[in-house]
Amino acid sequence: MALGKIKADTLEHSTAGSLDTKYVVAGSPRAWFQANLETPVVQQSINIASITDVQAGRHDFTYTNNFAQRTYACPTGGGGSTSNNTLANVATPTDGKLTSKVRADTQYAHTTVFDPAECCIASIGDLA
Amino acid sequence: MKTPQFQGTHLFDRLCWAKENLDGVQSDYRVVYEDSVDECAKILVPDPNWMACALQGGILPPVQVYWELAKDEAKPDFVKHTRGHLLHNTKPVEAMTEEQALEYLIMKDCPQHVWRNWDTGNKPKLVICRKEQLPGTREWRNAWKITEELSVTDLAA
Repeated sequence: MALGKIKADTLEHSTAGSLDTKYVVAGSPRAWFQANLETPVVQQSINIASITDVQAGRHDFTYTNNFAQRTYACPTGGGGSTSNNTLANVATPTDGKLTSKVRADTQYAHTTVFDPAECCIASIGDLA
Repeated sequence: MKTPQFQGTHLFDRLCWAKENLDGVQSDYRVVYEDSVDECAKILVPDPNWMACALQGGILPPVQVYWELAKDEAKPDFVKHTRGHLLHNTKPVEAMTEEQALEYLIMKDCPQHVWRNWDTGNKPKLVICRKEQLPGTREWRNAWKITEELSVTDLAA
């Protein structure tokens, strides 16, 4: 990289204490996306190679850089369909989760399958 | 823009470079494939940042690297990747055309039994099409299939 680099093992606040920067590095998402599942298409992302529309309410997202293990964390969010303006429940079932991909199952009201206009997942963990 | 010499650089760092320096490319193409006769057709869509990397060249590892990692993960005693260095240390692939990028993505993200045998049967198991050729709405999404009117010999011609 041509840009400058700041090296620091610790960040220290004058009164609130200090933070080991390894937590900042390890705690940053190593992949994330914002996708419109009505279309479907990925709109913003990093470390995503493709989206596969598997069936109604089910989409797989593959990574460019695999994770080291399948146990990475996946906080999710979604909603805002033009046909159903509601909060989406986005689940990442373990049987569809590999080091190379994460599956997003989307519903509203915990019962009805739908494809929301916005679906977001941030994947946090160690990369391969 | 010229791609830096990336062989040996962590792949994630290359992706960060690409996100900062390359504009995303939304492809108009879609890959439609049937994984099982009992399931509806699946639609593969390239990520715009990934497509930008593929067109730029010098960023992505050879697709065979992903096959090796998939082999490792398929082992029953798999816990953690130990050959992740293949992603970072293998010489990156050169710039691809959009067509070549789609072929790479098919080999990376579609099941091997689909793309290796795409033309064995009465109709193709896999088709590349423009997004306009897909149904306009998602009504009856779970009934979508590759049309019987497409024959393998027509496509080969």
